Amino acid sequence: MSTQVDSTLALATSPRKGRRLKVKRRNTRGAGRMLVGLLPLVLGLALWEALGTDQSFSFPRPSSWWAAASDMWQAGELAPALRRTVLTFVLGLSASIVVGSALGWLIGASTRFHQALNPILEFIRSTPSVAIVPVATVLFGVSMRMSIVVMLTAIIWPVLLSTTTARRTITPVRLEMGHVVGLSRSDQMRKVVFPSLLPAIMTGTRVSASQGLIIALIIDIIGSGEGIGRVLVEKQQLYEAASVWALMVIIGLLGLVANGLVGAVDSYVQRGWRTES
Amino acid sequence: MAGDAQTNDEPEESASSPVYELKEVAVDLTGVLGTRRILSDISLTVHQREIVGIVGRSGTGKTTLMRALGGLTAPAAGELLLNGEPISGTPEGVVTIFQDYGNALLPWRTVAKNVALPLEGRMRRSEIRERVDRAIDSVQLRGRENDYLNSLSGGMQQRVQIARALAVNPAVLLMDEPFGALDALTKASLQDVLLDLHSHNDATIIFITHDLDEAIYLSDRTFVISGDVSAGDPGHLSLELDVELPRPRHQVRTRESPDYLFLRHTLGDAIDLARG
Ligand SMILES: Nc1ncnc2c1ncn2[C@@H]1O[C@H](COP(=O)(O)OP(=O)(O)O)[C@@H](O)[C@H]1O
Ligand SMILES: [Mg+2]
Repeated sequence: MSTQVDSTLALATSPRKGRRLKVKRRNTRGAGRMLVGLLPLVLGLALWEALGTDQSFSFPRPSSWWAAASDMWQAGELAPALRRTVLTFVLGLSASIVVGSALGWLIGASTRFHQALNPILEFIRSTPSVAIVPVATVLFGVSMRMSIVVMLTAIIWPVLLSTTTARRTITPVRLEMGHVVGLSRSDQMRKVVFPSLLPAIMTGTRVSASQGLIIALIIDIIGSGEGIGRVLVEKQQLYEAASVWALMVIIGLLGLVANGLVGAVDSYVQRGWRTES
Repeated sequence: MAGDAQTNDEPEESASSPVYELKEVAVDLTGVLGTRRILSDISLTVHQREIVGIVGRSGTGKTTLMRALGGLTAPAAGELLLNGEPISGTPEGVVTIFQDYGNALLPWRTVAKNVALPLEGRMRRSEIRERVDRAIDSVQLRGRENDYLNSLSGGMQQRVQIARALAVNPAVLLMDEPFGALDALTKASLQDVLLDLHSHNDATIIFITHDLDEAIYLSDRTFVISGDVSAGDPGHLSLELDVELPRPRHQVRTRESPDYLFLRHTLGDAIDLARG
């Protein structure tokens, strides 16, 4: 019995579990399809609620999750933890988008830069972002500012690499056109180059965002000692299964909202001209 | 035409003053195979309001010549003067229309916004709107102003590019195989749009084509460019032909006239000779 508890809880807290949930979520994008896609989940939970007992050690009924969540909320554990994790995520992602697209733009614009940096970029690209966190934590410490730096080191790569490629592959005609019609340097950047990079920046952002939540939780757990990831691990160690389940749902919802927002921004900026490239 | 007086920025001083003067111009390009001479000994003079056509086989350096005229490539030797001055950078008042309209237009902008691109920040909004409207009218794209490019045919997209060029009221229009990618009917109608615009306008037009009929139909003068760059024979002008066919020209009647057929014959021979 107790081995079963451990393995269930370990599964719930492992980052791989989070990633698996994310895949399921991505397949169900689109409002209508999403509702249909959620149906089995809802049915499963209902069944669980009907057949389960509150005495179950590892599978407490879903209604007890809610109770656990409101207990944590009342105890003042949940709100600051959520705030902390969301802040790490939002600031880290924002920094990654800004720094990643700016660096990618620079690197992609210069053949020499690109040739010099390419081997390093390829190496980091193939290193799982999760593996970067412990190193970055050792290097940068665990304060809020440092959490952002750790996030940056871990998730900047998708944005940076896709922007670099996009900058390298802008057709010369497009840039020459800007000169020919007499655009100033800054207009050329604002009106020609930047919009050409935007789809790639958005694609990179989607990937960075989906890695970002995992990284934020890992920072909570092995770095800052605060945030929702930390609470999750504490509850696991206290064998509070209902709380663990509740936190997993909360984290799942966070991921859903984050992906939804990024997706919405993506479709907004590319409205009307989606068929390009 | 109404409004022309207001949009012609520079009143003509002497109608016959040369716009372009090229004296023994050579152009080198550096590629993976090292630096090669692409064009050599190009001498020509183009006057205001002229329409000059340049025909040649592919790979003879037509695009390279156009890029030199547009200030996108600097000559390696010789003298290239625009209005009496050497060209540095892309000169004001000279607009290139690219063959590759797909990449020369911005897909995230609507038709009207593409046409407005060169005007933004340079004049009042009301004036921009007026100019954009007029340019869109003149290429017969009224009603499509707010469409994105991906809903337009190739011919329409090329018309957007022409409208964008017209909106800046350029002194010189350089066109690199502007209708090369279009079907015959679309091509014919755009040729007529161009000639009609030119009859109301002081612009000098230099265009490239590999279509002999198009060269004769549009131009006042046609040059043949020949050579074989890869065999170490840089492109050069091998024939100059005065096209003294009356204007306005007509797609069917002009092409039936004996003068036209004679020119067509001469040009055909020259191109065949160029093949060597
Ligand atoms: N950047 C470059 N470096 C070296 N050679 C080039 C370059 N661009 C074009 N060429 C060569 O110059 C020749 C003329 O090219 P181009 O001017 O495009 O010809 P056209 O427009 O008449 O087809 C071709 O043989 C082409 O291979
Ligand atoms: Mg060409």
